[in-house]
Amino acid sequence: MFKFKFTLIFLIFFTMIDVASSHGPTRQKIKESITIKAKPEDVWNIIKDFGNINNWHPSISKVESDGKNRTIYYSPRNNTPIKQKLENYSDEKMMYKTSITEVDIKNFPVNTYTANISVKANDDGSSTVLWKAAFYRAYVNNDPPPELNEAAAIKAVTEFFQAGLNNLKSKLEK
Amino acid sequence: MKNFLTSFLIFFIIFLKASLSSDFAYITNQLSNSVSVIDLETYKVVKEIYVGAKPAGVVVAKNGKRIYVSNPESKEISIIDGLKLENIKNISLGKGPLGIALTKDDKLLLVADWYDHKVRVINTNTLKLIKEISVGKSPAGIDTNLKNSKFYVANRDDHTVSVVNISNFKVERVLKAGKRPFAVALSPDNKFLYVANVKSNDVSVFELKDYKKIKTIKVGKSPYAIAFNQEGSRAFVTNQHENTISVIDSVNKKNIKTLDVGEYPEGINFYAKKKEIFVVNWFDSEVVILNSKNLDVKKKIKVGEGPRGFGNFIGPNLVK
Repeated sequence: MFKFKFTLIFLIFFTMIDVASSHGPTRQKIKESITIKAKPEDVWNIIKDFGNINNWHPSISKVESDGKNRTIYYSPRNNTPIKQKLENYSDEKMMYKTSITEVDIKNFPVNTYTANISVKANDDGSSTVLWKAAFYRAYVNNDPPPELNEAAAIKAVTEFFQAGLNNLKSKLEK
Repeated sequence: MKNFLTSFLIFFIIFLKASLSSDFAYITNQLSNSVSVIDLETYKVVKEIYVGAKPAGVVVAKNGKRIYVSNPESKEISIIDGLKLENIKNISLGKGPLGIALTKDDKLLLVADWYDHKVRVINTNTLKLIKEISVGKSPAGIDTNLKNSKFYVANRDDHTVSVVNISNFKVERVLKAGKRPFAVALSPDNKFLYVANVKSNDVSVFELKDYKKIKTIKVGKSPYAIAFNQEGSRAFVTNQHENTISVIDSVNKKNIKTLDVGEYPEGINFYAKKKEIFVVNWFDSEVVILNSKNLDVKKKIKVGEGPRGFGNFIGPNLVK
């Protein structure tokens, strides 16, 4: 029994590794942006804190962060933990880039995900926040089931971005 | 004297014609299911040709008459006629055709299948499948040698490169690369094989006389594809997750420079006639052209959505 359990854990472990590093042949792309009537510095001031994304994203119930890696708990999808790594950060350019290092694909069906959030100034004094991502579907083999296909991945990321951006806007324009 | 003048004139005209002959770049746009054709004289997109689903790999025949495109989603190879600039035929092939290359005599088309771990060989004359070769897991990039005797394919999920003999289609050797090798490129003199490893962020260099790995060169994050300049003194590597290319001094086998090129650079080719580097930026949906001498950006050309340009995408313009 012990041996069986051990083998099972071993198998699950290796399946997870494989899922994390293989992917299908077609990467997907998402760009979501929102215009906010606020100065870029004020917008950046709210979103720049990597460890406190829950300050402005309404669907994140909790964040655990050491400044370089964070785990966000995403409430609309069973409060699933999503582990993310800070890949790149520029205060000057008002942008940062993250990747997902671990996620339960049943709850958030993406693979090899990176995302970039940035703030740009508009001529009229307002700001545009652009959040973009590149990722593969969760299913690594051919002919994915619908819950793990490209459309499912796009839906998950789009919802996550839109909820965050809409809330950021209402928070700043209040 | 008259004779001399005549031959001089003929020579001059031939020379002029050769220097005026233009080329095309054929860029696969994975998210818009098309190929953008760029005229390399004017740097304008002259046509967008619709092909199969989610095209990725591409290779142009030397005479420019045919362009082959791999479509992993619709599991087919699209054939574009270089004179008409039309998709004239689609051939169903395997489960996920991706990496694609021609032997240097253009007689054989080699297609790596990401899902069933094979390279398929097609006779370009009859367009018939003549052989299936089992290689490692998730084969991707392929390159062929000048003597038409061997091809090399990166097996991404096995961390290896298969060396295949073209005369009998046997796997002669399996080379151990870095982590998740995706692209391979032979140096122009065919003495070295460079392998870009996506997960270990480096390039493995093999000396082909004895297949020894002589060097591992660190590059940027998630290297995707490699192109050599004509002389073979430089190799250029696209780093997908870093938005840069690495410049390798291939004489001393050293990474000498890293430069920003735009988001998610993928396919890369060297255009010998103008000594330019073509970088295909997937996120920006752009082809960026760099002057290979000073590495300045010369041109940015908008193409279709999510371009990959994985393979040799430059060939002669037959349309004019």
